[in-house]
Amino acid sequence: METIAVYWEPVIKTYGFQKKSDLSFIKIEIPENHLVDIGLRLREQKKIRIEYQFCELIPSESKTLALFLLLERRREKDFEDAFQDLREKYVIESVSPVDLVFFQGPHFGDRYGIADAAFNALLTKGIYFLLAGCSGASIYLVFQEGMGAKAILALNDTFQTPI
Amino acid sequence: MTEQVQENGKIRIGGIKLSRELILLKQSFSVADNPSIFPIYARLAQGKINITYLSAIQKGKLIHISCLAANEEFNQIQCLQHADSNSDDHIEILPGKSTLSLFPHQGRFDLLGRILGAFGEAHIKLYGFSSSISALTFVIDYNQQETAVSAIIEYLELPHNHTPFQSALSFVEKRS
Repeated sequence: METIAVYWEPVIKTYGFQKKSDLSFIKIEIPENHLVDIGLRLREQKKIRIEYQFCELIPSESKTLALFLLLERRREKDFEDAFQDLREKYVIESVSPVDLVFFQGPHFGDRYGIADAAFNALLTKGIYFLLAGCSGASIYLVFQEGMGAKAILALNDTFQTPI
Repeated sequence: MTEQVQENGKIRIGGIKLSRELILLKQSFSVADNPSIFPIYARLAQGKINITYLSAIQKGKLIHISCLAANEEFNQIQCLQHADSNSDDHIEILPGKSTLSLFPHQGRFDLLGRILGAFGEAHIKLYGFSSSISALTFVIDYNQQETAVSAIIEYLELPHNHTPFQSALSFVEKRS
């Protein structure tokens, strides 16, 4: 049995904001029937002990999948070297450095209005994310370098962090 | 990095969770150019409809959003869409979707790569995935849940006492 909690609160409680900077934001575009190939290549990264900080996949209109990976910037070259031979096959782009802001709160995955509160807090202040992912009870936001701190200040107006 | 690969080559995880049937909603808009646009997440919040998953990307002036809501909210979502005659608010509605989550992922490329490869071999159509603090959540067709689990289970080692993939009973606590 699972418990789902549905409620709304004027100031939404979170467990606190976390920010990581100096990350590399890598995008790999693959045809949707190439999951086996890309899966195999990703598995090989285990040998050079790279971990991702955040990952997301978004399909595009033209039957391609855009795979987004956030890595520590110091590992960007290792990752790019590992994928160098695939540049003729797939579109691979990277932006660095970027900021990652993430946070979670009680029953975020069950309650309405959380994403609206977060995006409203940012967009009304002209703070635009590069990528956002909300799953489970977590919200992940990728920003251009230096915008992560501003994003947290903006989110603090809407969300409550523990003292 | 904790070594989580067993001697049998399987990757140890804590569990797999399948959602109920969900609706996928997609919208693209430019807030800067058209402040009157009512983003999908705001529309669902107005209707007190929970978003169980959301991905959003900014490309130039446009923000592209995909999100999931419960299938039971289908009629209300359609009412919300038609309540506003703003033709710029185009929302694409795709029923029959669901999520498959597995945890913990711990930022492991071997796990991510293995799952993507297995889904590719089983021809599981992916509508997206996202990592959270503990889980990897994949958006798939609801009628492919069983096939998706079968595709990945042979590569994973679950604890003997893992929770059921899908809850038989949900207790909904509504607070005012």
